[in-house]
Amino acid sequence: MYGYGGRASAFRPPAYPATLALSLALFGNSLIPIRTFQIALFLIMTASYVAVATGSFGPLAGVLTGWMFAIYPLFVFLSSEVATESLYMALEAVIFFLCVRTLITPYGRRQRAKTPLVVGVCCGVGTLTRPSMIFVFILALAAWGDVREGQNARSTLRAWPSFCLAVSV
Amino acid sequence: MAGIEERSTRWVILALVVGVLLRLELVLATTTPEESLNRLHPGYTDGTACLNNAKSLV
Repeated sequence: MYGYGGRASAFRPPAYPATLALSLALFGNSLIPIRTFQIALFLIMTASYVAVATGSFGPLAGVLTGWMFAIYPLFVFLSSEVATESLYMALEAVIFFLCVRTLITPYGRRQRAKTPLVVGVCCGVGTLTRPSMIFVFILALAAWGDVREGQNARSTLRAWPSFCLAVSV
Repeated sequence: MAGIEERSTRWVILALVVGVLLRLELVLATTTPEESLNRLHPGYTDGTACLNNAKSLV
């Protein structure tokens, strides 16, 4: 965790190795549990994108999205591979779903106070999985401010602190 | 196309089931009782490094 092959510790972000370690501690010296968990992550990721596609473009887009994510060879490969991608992509999908639902698409329900908190937690865990998630966080923060600016400034003022606090934690 | 749109939930569930079966098949095909740590493609991405780090924690 704190060093790999003589490189600096930050070279390997800790979230995925920690998840892997938890799996090894709970289920023994096998990779089947973590690979099964990654299949569950595939379900979360696909459900998020199907919901966005259905809400934005209609049922046919949702069906096509579901099938593309289900049978695209690279995604099938990554779900069963020991790699950070599965965890990262699932977190990214949840962030995308929540941002689109609350900020852009009119079909969404009224924004709840806990939504930015959940997005922030996902960004924080995602950054610990792959540091590039920090750019998603910056984009989400900008979108939150931009879209809410003309609608409800108070909502933005309420959302930002909990969003940032969640990422920091 | 209209039929698919009317039964979109069923089609999506079918896609998810097919996706899960494909992935389970891949996991089973690359794991044997003798080699429970078998990986599909050792060396691809940083899986080995992550696994070494994980083992250092357990």
